[in-house]
Parts: sequence; structure tokens; C-alpha cells
Amino acid sequence: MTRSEQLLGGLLLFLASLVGVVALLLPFLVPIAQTTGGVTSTLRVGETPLLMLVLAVICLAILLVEFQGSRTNAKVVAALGVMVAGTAVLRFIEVAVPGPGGFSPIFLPIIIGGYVFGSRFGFLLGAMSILVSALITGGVGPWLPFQALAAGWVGLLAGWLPRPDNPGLQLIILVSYGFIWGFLFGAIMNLYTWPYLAGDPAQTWQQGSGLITTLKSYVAYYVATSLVWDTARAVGNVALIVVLGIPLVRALGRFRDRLRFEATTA
Amino acid sequence: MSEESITRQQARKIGNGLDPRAWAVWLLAGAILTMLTRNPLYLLLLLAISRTVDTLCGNREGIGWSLPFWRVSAVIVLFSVLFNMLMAHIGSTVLFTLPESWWLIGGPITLEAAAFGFVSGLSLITLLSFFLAFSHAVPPHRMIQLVPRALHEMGLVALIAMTFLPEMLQQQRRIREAQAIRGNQIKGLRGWRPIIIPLIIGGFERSLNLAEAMVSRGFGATETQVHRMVHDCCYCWRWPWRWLVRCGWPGVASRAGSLWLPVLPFSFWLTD
Repeated sequence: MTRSEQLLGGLLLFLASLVGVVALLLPFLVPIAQTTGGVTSTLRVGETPLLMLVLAVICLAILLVEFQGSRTNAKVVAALGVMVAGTAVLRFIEVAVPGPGGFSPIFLPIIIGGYVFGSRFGFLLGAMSILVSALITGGVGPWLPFQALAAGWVGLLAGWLPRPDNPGLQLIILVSYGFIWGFLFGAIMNLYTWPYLAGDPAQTWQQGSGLITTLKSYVAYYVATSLVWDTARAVGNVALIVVLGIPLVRALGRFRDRLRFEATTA
Repeated sequence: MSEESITRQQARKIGNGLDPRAWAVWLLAGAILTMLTRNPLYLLLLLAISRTVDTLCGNREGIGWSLPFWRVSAVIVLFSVLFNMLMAHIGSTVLFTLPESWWLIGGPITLEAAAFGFVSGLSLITLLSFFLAFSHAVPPHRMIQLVPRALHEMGLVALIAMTFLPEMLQQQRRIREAQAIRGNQIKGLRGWRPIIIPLIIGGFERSLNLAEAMVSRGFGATETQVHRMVHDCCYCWRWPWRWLVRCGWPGVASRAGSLWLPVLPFSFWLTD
């Protein structure tokens, strides 16, 4: 891969992620557009959630195509398949034996996988785990693209975490990362139901009410719906990473070099 | 009993026979309609349609757990109504008034806000219902057929994962038994460590085997490699080919590919 290709790939990723962020923040952006530029909203009733969904699907598709890359490596595909299967098993257990609140064991393999194998692997692992486990547990729904994006970002950003040699430091980094994402994941997933429950910002009681009101009611919505759930998720992540984090990092680390090894014919 | 169950079976058969793409179009049509309307009558009709399709065509065998739809829906609608009553103070039909000093929720509580909340909740559960019907009607392995060509590899990853899944569950049971024989009991989170680590390592070992098998069957052969192979083949065939042409070998053989083997013994006789 040449330098320009790398730059182009990075730019594409950045733009695609921007599309995803815009999709998620649409309920907040519409009131801004209404109050500032005197823009009369052209969005009709119900179009905000539709637009969000379409944008999220586009963003997810672009990111998956980009990360899957043009050069295929059988080992990465097989390893991803197995990791996704493992994560789906965890999801299966979670569905069968619901834990407290939003606790979910699937973040552990996604975080550790992204941390050890890098951000590309992490994104694919997160997104594909959500998609496959949704197929298996019958959890296909309008939330799926948002969930897949958010889980992909968990793995993606885990790949950018610093990797100190000291296992204690590593543990501290991973634990705080898992803790933060416990809340962040809930906040992102809330954004998707938000335009339904709080009304379409384009043409409801919120018309012309501006960003501050929207943000205020979002905070109330967040506290009411998911603070308890997200706390359970964050604490669960911390507990799982404390117990299994470092052994898993070590176990996966052994496979890192073997996955990269590739025989090329000159 | 028999008549009802027969029609249900027939409906299920029709549903299973449909192409997954047809189901996807149905889902898209239903979901987009649901998102674009705020008319409660339309929403109720859409809800009825999707529920009917789900009960008739849905295949629930093999799925151990399914969402308790009506219970979840009740919670969603109730929450939506309450949230909008407390947060939105619009309309003129005031039911009662909360003190203005209460942060965010203070103000008149109106019937209009409740109605708004009800419709919002209704549209959310209708959407949910369409997706549930879709996921019940289309088996997972057929859903993967919907993956577009550009995402071929991700479809492959999904397929590998679904194939490995039962094996992983079995493996996990085997490891647990092995640990139990050694006297390791699962106590708390820490007890899972000697189960999860071997599971992951075993899974990766198998994935490397799988990758070798895939490569040996030509997976991931890049274009240049294929070109090279074709080139090599041409190269090693070039000399005999030229020799044949130079000998004035009948042009028929080169045109009719499958004919040339039976003709071969006679070709020398013909050219002589």
C-alpha cells in the first residue's frame, strides 16, 4: 500500500464516520439549522428517523467495505469468523440468562480484540458480532445499524489505545476504556429512539425551540431511561476486564504474529 | 383444530418459499410507511398487518427465546405517553398542572401531549413489529444471501461464524466437563477464566487450520497471482502448440475444443 492510498483510506474513513455522527446527531442538528440561518426545515413529519436510518446504513456499509479492504487475507477472515462466533455465544448466553440491567459480556472480546489486533480488526469484529448475533437471536430491528456502528467504534477506538509494556498500566487503560464505553454506548443507542419518543424536531412541540431545550430534554430522557442500565453495563465491563482482560490480551497476543505472517510469491 | 393448523402450515410454507429479497422489499415498504405516517389509524392497520404476517408465516422453531412483543410494546407506549406528558406542555386541554418551579417537568399537563406520546409509541412498536415478523419469517442462513456482492467477505465471516457457533458451544461444554473432572468449580467470575481462555485459544487454532484449507482451495488468490498462473500455463503450452501449428495440424481441432481428442489419432494420418 502506498502512502497516498493510505491517506485516501483515512480520508474515506473520516468522511464515513462523519456521516454516521451526523446521522446520530440529526435530532440536535435540525433545531440548530432552524434557529440560526432562518432555514425553514424541509423535513416532513417522520423523515428524521428515516433519514437517520438511511445515513446509518450508508455509513456502516462504507466502513465495512473500506475495512474489509481490497486485499483478502484468509487468516484474518477465518480468525474474524471464529471471534465473531465466540462473541455471538456470549450474546446467546446473555439473551438466555439476562444479567442485571444493560450488562452485556460482548464488549469484553470486542475491546480486547481491537486492542490486540488493531482498529481495523476491532471495527469489523464489533460490527459483525452485532450483526451475526442479531441474526441468531432474532434481534433484527431498526436499531441494528446503530448498534453495529457503535460496537464497531468500540473496537476501532480500542485499537488506538496506547500499549504500555507494564500489564498493570494496560489493565488500568482497558478498565477505564470499558467503563467509559458502558455509558457512551447507551447514550448513542438512545439517540436512535429519541426522535420517536421526544417527537420529530421538524414539526412538533419542539419547533423553533433551539438546541438548549432539546439537550435539556435529552438529558432528562437519558436519566429516565438508561442511567441505571448503563451503570450496570459499565460496572460489568470493569469486572470482566479486571478478571479476564490481561490473560485474554496475552492469549490473543500469541496469535498476532501468526495472523500477520504471509507468504508472498515474488 | 385441523383446519386452522393446516392453513397456518400452508401460510408458513408460502413464507418459506419466498425469496429473501421479496421479504426485504416487504420489510422496507412496511418500515418506510410506518416512519412516514403519524396517522394513528394507518399505524394501527400496519401493526395489524405485520402481526398477522408474523403469526401466520413466522417460524419460531429453533429459536429458544423470542421477544415478548405485547409486553414490550405496552412498556414502550406507556413510557412514551408519560414522558411526553411530563416534558411537552402543548395544547389547550389541561388535565392538571404541576408547579412551575419543578425543573423540566413543571407546567400544565395536557391531553394533547399524551396523544402525541401515544402516537409516537405506536409508530415505534409498529416498526418493531415489522422487523420481528421479518426475522421470524426468514431463516438466518437465507438472510445472509441478502448480503451484497461488495461485502462478500463479510458475508463469508458471518457464514464461518454461524458454522462455528454450535461447535463453540460444544467445545465450551467439553472444557467445562474437563475442568470439573479436575475438580475446578466455577465460582464467580474468576471461575470462568480456565474455561474462556482455552476456548479462545482452541478457536484460534481451528481458525488457522480453516485459513490453510481456504488458501489451498484458492481463496484470496489475487489477480496478479492468477495472471501469473495463466501466463505460466500459456508459457509451458506454447512450444507444443507452435509445433502443432507448424505441423499443419487441422484448424478444426483448435476451434472445436471437445472434438479434438477423438480426432487426435487421425490427425497424423490426415496430415501425412
